[in-house]
Amino acid sequence: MKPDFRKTMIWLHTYSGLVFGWVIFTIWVTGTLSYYNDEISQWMRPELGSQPPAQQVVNRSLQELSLRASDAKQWRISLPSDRSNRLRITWSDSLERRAKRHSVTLNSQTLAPIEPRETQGGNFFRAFHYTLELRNYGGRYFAGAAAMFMLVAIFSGIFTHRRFFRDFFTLRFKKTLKAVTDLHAIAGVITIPFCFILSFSALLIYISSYMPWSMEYHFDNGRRDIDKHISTRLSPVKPANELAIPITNFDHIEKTIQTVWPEKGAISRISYQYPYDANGRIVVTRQPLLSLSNKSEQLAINPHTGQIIEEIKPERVARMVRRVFYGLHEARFASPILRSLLFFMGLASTFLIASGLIIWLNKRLEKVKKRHLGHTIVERLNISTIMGLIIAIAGYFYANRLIPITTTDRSELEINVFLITWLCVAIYTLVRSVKRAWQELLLIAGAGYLLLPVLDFIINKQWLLQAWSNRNLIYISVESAMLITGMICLVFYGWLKRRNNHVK
Amino acid sequence: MQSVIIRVSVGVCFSSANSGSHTQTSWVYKEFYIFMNLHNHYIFSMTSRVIAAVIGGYGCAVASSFALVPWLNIAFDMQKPDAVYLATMLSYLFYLGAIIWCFCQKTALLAWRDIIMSSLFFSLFYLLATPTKELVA
Repeated sequence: MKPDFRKTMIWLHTYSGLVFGWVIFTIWVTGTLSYYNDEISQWMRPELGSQPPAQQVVNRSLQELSLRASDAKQWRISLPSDRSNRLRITWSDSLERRAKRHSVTLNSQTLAPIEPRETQGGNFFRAFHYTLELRNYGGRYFAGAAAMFMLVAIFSGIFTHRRFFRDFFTLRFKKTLKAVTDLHAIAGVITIPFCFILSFSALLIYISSYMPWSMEYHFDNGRRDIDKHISTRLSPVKPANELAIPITNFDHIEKTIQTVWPEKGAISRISYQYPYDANGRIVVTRQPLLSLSNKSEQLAINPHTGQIIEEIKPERVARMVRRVFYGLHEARFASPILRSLLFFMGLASTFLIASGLIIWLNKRLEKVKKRHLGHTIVERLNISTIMGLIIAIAGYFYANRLIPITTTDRSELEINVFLITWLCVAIYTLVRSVKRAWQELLLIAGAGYLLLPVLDFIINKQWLLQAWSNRNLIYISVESAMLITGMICLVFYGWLKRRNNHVK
Repeated sequence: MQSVIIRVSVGVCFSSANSGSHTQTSWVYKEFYIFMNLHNHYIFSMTSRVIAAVIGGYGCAVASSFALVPWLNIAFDMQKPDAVYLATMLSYLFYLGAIIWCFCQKTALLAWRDIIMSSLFFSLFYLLATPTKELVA
């Protein structure tokens, strides 16, 4: 092989992109969706309603907790935020991480308990994008390998251009394949920093699984205890076994907190540890809106005097590096506009990956007279991954609305519907010819997404009407995003149909 | 199936050893070439590089995640747990670099040489640097 740097990089770009291309595509689509994790969850739990939270929500939740769980060791209130409309009170009999928890969701206006449908919501996409639903079968390692391949593909992709700037401003619309190639280059250049940060931070998040050797060697208990050595935390509580009544009127404490965290709606979670003990304390967690790091800022407060006892110390450099990359990956800090920008960057990257896979195939089919088995495999995998995933996501949403609420293991059933839909599409692509498969699947996807809001309206029109009257933009935006996806699928369907008729 | 595995594995060693010397091919190479039907020398060279990049590169990264510990510990006065953690994070960059390097070298043999040399360098550095200063726990 010739020692030509550019040619080597082209080879590397081609094959590092191809080998894991379909896995990378799946990860990036579901990962992009999980930027709107809470918003999708809100659509998938319509029982929670769109009403604004009541004024005295903390005090009334504390009343509920003292009525329901006076002997619990920990109370916790998860407050609704701008993105999530879920108010939840939780209590447990121990402070251990694995202790059994009792959890009740409350209506944020009336504080009456409600039972939202059992679903993973948008969190399914988040979990799927790094475990691939293979949690006990090395799914995370698979995702990690995909991230590494993505890094190599990004790096080598930069060097495939002989004239970087001229290529960026080149667009040839006369031939479809040329147009797709140029768009691939543009999307690539735009998303270089985005893709690099996302793939690199993905590797850093699971660092102790992917690179455990040095940690295993240097510490007694290996990577399991690494957090204890490098992370900062609040000092542990020791119960005094003396009865003491805590303050359950939170107004005064809230004013104290405001002196430290001045922004509005700063609190995301309140927990009372050992609520009826003389040594108990209140731990308040801040909304993660003002910091890149994903470390939750916490305050410990004395529940009898209302004074701040302790503030969690900032992380040291090593842990901070991971925290900031983790924070950048999750983007919990992002304001609505920044979030939408990140979402569109995610969409551009998925276009980048999908177009790369399609270019690989069509470039070879143009040159080669006799088809190779590999070409057929790539062809079918392209259709069944790209269209299959899009349709499977729609299937997941349909399952959310159509499976009866009382079904046992409902959330698992939803996920199974997602997987089975995907499998059905994969089988379908094997049966049909390529042109027809693309066309028909685009039609199915388009119709599927367009009918989702209609189905929602038929099942219970109160959900949409209530969202409309309460100006709940989130619910409406999710529905309109579905409509837009459906339209885009139909536009592509029409374009493909005209093109195929033209060729004939 | 077995024969394929033998062919590939032998071919990998052979191509890495011989891919540098196109001009003066030895009789061993010619005999072997005919015997193994190695007309697609390119594939073996590439396979060898891929193995060097993926597995060798990972080994090199692991070695670097050890070697950087005493360096961070001494040069930046970092606590041991932090040094271990940061060194592990930095090792990914060495992995990425090693992968690219393997595909940039003229021959697969040179790629293997560099991977092994750098891994040895990192290991030696770790072994020599650690006892000079007790790691601050």
